[in-house]
Amino acid sequence: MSEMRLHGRGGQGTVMAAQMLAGAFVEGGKYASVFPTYGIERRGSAVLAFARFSDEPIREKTRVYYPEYLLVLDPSLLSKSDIYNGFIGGGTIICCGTEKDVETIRRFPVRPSRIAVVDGIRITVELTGTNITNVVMLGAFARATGLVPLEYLRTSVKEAFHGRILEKNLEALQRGYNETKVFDFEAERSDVRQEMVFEKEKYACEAPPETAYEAAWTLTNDRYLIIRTGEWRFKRPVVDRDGCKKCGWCQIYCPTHCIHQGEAGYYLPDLEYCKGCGICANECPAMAIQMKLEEDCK
Amino acid sequence: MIKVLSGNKAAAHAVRLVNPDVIAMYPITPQTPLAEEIAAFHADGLLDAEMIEVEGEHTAMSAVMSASVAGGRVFTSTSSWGLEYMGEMCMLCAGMRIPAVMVDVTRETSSIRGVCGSRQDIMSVRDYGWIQLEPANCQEILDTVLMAYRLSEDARILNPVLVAYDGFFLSHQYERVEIPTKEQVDRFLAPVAERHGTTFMKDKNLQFCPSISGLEFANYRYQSLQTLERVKSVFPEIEKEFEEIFGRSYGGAVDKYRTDDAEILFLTAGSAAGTIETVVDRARERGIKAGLARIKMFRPYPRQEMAALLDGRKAVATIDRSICLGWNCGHLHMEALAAVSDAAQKPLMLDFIDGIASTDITIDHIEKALAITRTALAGHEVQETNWLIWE
Ligand code: SF4
Ligand code: SF4
Repeated sequence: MSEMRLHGRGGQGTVMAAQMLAGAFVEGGKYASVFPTYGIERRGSAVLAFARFSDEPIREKTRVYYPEYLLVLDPSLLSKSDIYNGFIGGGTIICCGTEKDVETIRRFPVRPSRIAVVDGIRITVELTGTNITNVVMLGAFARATGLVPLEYLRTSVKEAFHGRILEKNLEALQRGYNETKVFDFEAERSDVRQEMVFEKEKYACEAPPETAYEAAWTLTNDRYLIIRTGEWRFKRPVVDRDGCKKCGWCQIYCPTHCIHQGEAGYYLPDLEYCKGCGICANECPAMAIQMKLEEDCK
Repeated sequence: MIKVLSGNKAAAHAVRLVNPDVIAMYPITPQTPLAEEIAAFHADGLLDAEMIEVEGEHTAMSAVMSASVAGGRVFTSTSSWGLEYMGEMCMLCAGMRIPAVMVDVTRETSSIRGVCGSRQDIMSVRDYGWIQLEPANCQEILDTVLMAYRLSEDARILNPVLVAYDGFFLSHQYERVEIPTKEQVDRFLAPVAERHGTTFMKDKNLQFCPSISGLEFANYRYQSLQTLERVKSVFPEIEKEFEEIFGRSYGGAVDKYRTDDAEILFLTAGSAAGTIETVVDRARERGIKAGLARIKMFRPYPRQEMAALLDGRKAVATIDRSICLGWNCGHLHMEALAAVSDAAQKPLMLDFIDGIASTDITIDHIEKALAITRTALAGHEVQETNWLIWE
């Protein structure tokens, strides 16, 4: 059995990618299972899904902690150390990104034997004007692993989409396959679960950590959680100062209320919290706000 | 036809194949995507049922009860506090012994408000008088819903059946599932195809809502109890017929994995079973005689079978996905304690709480439970109830 973890952002079709992949494996007579995490996923926030494939029926109904494969749908996630947790040495990382992202990955203490990259965002922006890279990454998976024929993936894509979107996605699949670049490295395969935990002496379980509050009656003013919604963004609003009339309309509409009047009276977003929804750009009466790809702002 | 389906989609296919006359469901949270899947089949003309979109679960149960009394085949589904809101009508349904099949996607109930996974919600149904079946994978979900109809509408039973499966860990788990043909399902359901109306009274197809007291009331209670006992012998028959038509076999009220010579027996229900089987195999490779008993039929409780199964083991390690408030342990453990009192040689009984509030029952957690159990067997003192959650 092989285990894979998929990392993407809400709205990129991460779970759907896993399902289409499972469909392709089953089409080829194999077994596959897919399990997403469920929480308060929103468009742009980091999401993950787990997949297993095997020649035998799959029993485990638990998350994947030691993935042999990592499929990363968004380049911005590659610099987050969490996504590499438990990655097996000698495994394969397939990611949306460019050649320079290979170096980003290699800065982390992981030892993949193969890294495959494809500039998925560029492809989907060209094809659909979105960052929904899921189908491109399936093409990349087929190319990088050779585990599933492209024709089975095509069948899965055909079941998931219809009409014009289907055509675009079939093209995305093919381009993902064609444009993937593969880099190989010397890496020995590390074995997982050599440790037999049940052979140890263990007297008790871990006690719970101190909770933020005991029942509803404790003062919790200093313990609330702040979510840095800026993490979710793949496009950023850029204000054209010649066009801006300093009317403040964008501030009223911003759902995260992150736009404040700053230097010289201009209204500017706080990028810690701007989630890149584009509402301000839509509402600006002077059309002075443009949404630009994060990649192009660096 | 073989497809990749989630637990919810598998259940929806079963409902499509059974083709109930009336389906009444509340469509909004805490309802799960199961309702959406069924509605999609209906919209596509693949399901010829009367669909009632009700304003609450209490009404959903009222509607299916009435339809069933009128002779219809019925279905409803819910989850979490939706099930609790339905409670009053659920009791009536069981008390009147009305055939009905319901799916509950098991989740937490309101205490702190949360819709995360757990087996907590169905614990309040334990004493309603429903038959409760708990499949452990997506194929078994589809198959169990089919069998639930045979059981519910069987002339010897006539009682509602709840098919309950783990929220998220099964409802949203996608797996390879074989979808049977309509012909197969029709053949399987043929023995109950002619059911019109139900009755408590011999030779009379009557149904009514008893509002009585004293000995009359007690008589109905007595009948309910007898019916649930009968399920224990009828269910294996239905499973056998199922196997003849569909080619898949199941283990009855308690699914057993490598239990024959097991000295340490894991006990669980629901989706954790597959993961525990992996640990059993790993332990066996190292010479530890472990095994797993999964309770598939939670109600009626397989008391006699469990007593025999637990008898003489060195230890029983229960992986519990719900908490029995006031007992300081989980429900499976609490009931196993009752069952084991019938056994001649009592094992060491330990409980491990895990997987509540959508937390993951991992291989690592189960191996730690085994470690604690073995430490206890080696003569060290450990607690009876252990929380694996923070490991
Ligand atoms: S809405 Fe447009 S014009 Fe008005 S302050 Fe914002 S950017 Fe400037
Ligand atoms: S894109 Fe504009 S409206 Fe949206 S969060 Fe950022 S600043 Fe606010």
